[in-house]
Amino acid sequence: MLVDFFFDEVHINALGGFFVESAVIVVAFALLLGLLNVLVVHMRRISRREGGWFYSIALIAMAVLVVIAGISGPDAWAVTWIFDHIQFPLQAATFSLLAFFVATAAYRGLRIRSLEAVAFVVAAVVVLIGQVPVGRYVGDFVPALKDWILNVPATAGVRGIIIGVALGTIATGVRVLMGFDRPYGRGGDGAK
Amino acid sequence: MIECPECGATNKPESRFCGECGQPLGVPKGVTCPMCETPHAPGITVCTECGARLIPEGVSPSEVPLEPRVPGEVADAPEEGETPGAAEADRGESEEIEEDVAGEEQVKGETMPPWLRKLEVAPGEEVAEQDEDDLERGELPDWLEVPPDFEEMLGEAGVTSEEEEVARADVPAWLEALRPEGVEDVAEISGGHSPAEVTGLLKGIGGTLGIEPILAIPPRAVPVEPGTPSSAAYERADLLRSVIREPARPGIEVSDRSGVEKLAASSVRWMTFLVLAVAVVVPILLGSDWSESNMPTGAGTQGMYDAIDGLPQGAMVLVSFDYDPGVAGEMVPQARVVLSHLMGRGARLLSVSLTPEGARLSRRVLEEVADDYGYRYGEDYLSLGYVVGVEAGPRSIVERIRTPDWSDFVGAGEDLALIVEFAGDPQYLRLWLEQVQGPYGLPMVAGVSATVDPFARPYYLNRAQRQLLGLMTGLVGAAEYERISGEAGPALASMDSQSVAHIALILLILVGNLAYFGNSLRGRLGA
Repeated sequence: MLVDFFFDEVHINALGGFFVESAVIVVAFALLLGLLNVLVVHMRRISRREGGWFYSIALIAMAVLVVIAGISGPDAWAVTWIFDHIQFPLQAATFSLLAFFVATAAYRGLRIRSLEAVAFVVAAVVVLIGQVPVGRYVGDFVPALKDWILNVPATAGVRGIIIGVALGTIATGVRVLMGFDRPYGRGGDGAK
Repeated sequence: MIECPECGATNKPESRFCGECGQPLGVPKGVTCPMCETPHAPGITVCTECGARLIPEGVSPSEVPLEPRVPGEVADAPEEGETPGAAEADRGESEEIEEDVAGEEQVKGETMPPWLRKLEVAPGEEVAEQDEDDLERGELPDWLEVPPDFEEMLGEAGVTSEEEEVARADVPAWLEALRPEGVEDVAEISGGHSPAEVTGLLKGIGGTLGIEPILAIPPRAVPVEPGTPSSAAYERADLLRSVIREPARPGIEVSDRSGVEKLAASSVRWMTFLVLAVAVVVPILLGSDWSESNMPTGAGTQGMYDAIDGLPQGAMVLVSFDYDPGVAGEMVPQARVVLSHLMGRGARLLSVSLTPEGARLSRRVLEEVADDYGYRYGEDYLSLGYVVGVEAGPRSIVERIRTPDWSDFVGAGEDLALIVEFAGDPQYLRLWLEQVQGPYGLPMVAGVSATVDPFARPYYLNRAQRQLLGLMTGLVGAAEYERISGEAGPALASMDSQSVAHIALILLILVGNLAYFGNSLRGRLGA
């Protein structure tokens, strides 16, 4: 796949496409393997009466229920009902709590205790008010200052993170390809 | 450097084996400490291990007279207190020792090097040695006796016997070089501990036996002055002593607070929650539409709108819905307004999702908007559902739609005109950029949640490579898009609520800092 990435040749592209399709199939089977692993772990937890073992019963029961409901396809009535009325409200409600945590943090955490805290609080206030329509009525400089904060300092920091991660990924890939590292299966029978 | 006797390669002085051929290099040339036998490189005068003075090159310890071990002495007469049986037993052992010594000499004769064999006593000299062995203790052989005309010989040489004795007592220069450091009275030490010669030319002179005892004297240790502790050390010692002597204090008892006190302690948190809830709910209940006519538009959203608005009629567009219900509140309005714009432009849509929840969420929005625009599934749009494969998934889709198997939906030679990505997590946006946009050079726009915006902005601001032609962020981005396209929807309707919520957050920051400074000021005044 690396060679396919660098060279535009018919046979190499075909070979790269074959490996891409193979990777998709392997990942699909990995999902099934992950489900089986979760079931085995929680069954063992129930058999040993470990702490919270009754939650494991609920997990296994729901997993089996969804699998049975989805046998006829992802558009089955039972599957869509479970998604629409159980999973979606739970996830949305959990993430919605973030707004209240942000409000608490705004009151308790954003205290001006140092010079760095001043910069932090000023940036937060400018972005908060410049992000919504009401900020334009404070002055045209507010949206402009908000854009500058997002486009220059914040983007510079994120760009540094992205480049650092990319370099680390390259180094890790080279080490794995050269055999210096074994990211998976370390300690197994094959790791000698 | 040491030269290997086998291959001639040069090795470091401390090497024990040749670095080229691996042959042992033997004992390195240099000086061996007479005390601890540590080898040293040439030029070292003091042992690095025990501090003893080393014998320089050219002066071998073998030059020092050593008393030879006589095997016959082992079989001497029995000492007092020993029984005859023991003497016989000793005699038997001595005979065995003599046999062993004879055997060793035979072995030595076989393994003795030629240069050492030359030093062996010649057969004609055995008689003389036998005569010397017959001498009484204290007698000297004839060749060692002082000649009668010794005084005359000294007179002819211009020295007296006393001067000769003084001259003999002088320490030669090469021996003076061996004097240990810090030892000034070497002669006294040697004379005091070594017996004087009683016969021969060295008669009356002490300290002539061996140089090892002198060389073995280590340098005098320099006494270390006791250091004076610093004042800080005294302070730490006093603190440690006071802590040790301090009596144990009873643990601090935490009194159980009543329910009312607990409620009062958490009232600030509940007040914060209440302020935010009121800020969100009240504008919705009032039906405010102030933002619908005052909504500004950002450059990123405008770029996304322009990229879609410039699509030709019937262009094939791939739309990926990669988000979950947690961010559906801001992503669904984005998807709805963009799909409306795409279908209004007559684009053929290919829908995929890299998350299982996104497939279900997108299906619902797609069907609603398709009904509005009269789109037919299979002809005007397709939904591929959840695509597994992580990095390989997006690339697999783009590779697959170029094959003849897709000829019923994709025309011959037709390629994707645009990729529209809705990302609730940075990794999905990165997958499409790295695996599809970059390698295939396809135009791409993205609508992201507010938390993803900082990670998407570097790709949008990369003007040179135009990785993202447009970037729409959060619910505000959806409202901007609705404002640009002239289709007021749920995003614009929620902007008043969001504006008030942001103002409430700013007020909370202000109140929190006022309370903080008030407490600080009260504490200072109290102090």
